[in-house]
Amino acid sequence: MSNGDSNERWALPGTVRRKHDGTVVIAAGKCTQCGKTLFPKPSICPECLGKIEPADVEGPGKLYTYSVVHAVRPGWPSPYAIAYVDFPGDVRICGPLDLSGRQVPLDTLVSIEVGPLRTDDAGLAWSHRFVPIETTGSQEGAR
Amino acid sequence: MSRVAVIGAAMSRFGKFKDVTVQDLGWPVVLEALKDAGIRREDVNAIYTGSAFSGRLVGQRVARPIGMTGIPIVNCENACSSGATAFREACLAIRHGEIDVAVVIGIDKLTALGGGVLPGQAEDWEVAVGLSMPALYAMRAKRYMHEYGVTAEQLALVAVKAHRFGALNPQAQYNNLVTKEEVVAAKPVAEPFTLLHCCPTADGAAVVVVCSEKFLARASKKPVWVAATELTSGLYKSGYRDMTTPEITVRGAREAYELAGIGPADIDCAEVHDAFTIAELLYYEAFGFCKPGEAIRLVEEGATGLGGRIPVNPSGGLLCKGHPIGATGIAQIVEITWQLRGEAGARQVPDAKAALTHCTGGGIAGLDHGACSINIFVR
Repeated sequence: MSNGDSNERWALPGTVRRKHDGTVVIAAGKCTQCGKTLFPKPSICPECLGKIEPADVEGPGKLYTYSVVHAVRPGWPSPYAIAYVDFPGDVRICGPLDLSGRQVPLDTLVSIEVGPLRTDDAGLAWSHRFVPIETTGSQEGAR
Repeated sequence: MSRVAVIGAAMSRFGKFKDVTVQDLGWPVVLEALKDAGIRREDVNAIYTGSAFSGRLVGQRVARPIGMTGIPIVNCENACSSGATAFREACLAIRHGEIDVAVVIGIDKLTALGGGVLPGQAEDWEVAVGLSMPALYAMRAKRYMHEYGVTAEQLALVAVKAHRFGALNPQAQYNNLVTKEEVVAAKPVAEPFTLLHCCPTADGAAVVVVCSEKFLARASKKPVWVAATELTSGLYKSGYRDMTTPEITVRGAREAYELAGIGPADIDCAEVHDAFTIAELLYYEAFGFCKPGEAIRLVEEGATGLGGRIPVNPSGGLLCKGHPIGATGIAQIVEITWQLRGEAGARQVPDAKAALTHCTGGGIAGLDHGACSINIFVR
């Protein structure tokens, strides 16, 4: 988020954290009993009803699938891209994908960043976002 | 335990009827279904209604203008499976001997929502970051195309087929033919989908009358037997999920075939939940009409078209007939009833003896879909 303006907020409060070195991580939960990592962090483990402790999901992740959405709801940028991204340990997270007009192949590695998501009556909402990691010489999937 | 038969079927034309109330969409269709069954309203022991976006007491609102009140009226919401869920409840009550005759109404008026993409559940965390039903199916399509080498042009053929059938169905929202080129060039919705890859905003009502074996002698139509009525919910799973395999439908199909004691080779035609073009391909595979990755060949070879080996969505499907959410499950049963009676006109599947209906939906994070209902019918 930019500057603590009271009209700016997180679309999913408490789900993004910046580490001391500046890396953005997604704040998830981990079951103390079965070890399953879950996002968003639940109050109880749906697999075994165990207790949950905080756990970070760190990039890079792998782009499982995405779509560029043109039929958008009021307040959303048009178009925007949305994706499912897989992280190690059976974690898949949905979120906006920063394509900057490019097409990228599936299974591309992406990093976790933050960015503006949408605006509504309550102001601008921010969230995690996935950004494809540039690999030199890879033109595959470009239009 | 009684067997359950469908003895009456009717539906409104699907389309955009902004000026018609939900109650007025519904009651004329109820009277038509009773007439089709050849029974009186006094014969009906209970009403079951499925709707997802039309508010409370929908069954009572539809029953009031025709004086069908004072009996149990059950209102069901289960997203796209709302109507089919109501149907199952009616079948269970008859099977267990609680009642002999039920009217099942599926109805919704989506134009009241203003059109466009259906609103998602605001507290769903995936909806909060931009997920919508078109986007979800588009992401399934993208992965499927990636894994099986299917192109957007090939996917467009599903819409072409839907319109070929819809052109033969007077109750369908659209009766026009479309070309592959028109599908590809239509307004983009969520890549790879254009508008013609997506079911349209629709209003409509569909009604069936079901009864017990004991009551059957009093009905005027030959019965269409309910061989299986299966309902399940998506298995919650956090983490990786193969989006090219519709978990809830694969599991539901297996259970439904087992209940009916028949298999995919016995099915003469099917109405499946083609809310978006990709869905139809996923469901051919889930129902065992072909192997994974081969569904597009069925469309290209005409196997699921008019005169094919196993016509799918002879009504025009959700893509062309329209998808008034709660009405869909019942409209599918209406089509299959007509098909099994030989009353489906120009789109009749010759000598259809066994058929299935399938509706599934409800976007909910962590589940393939919220609900899935599968019915198998025989004559």
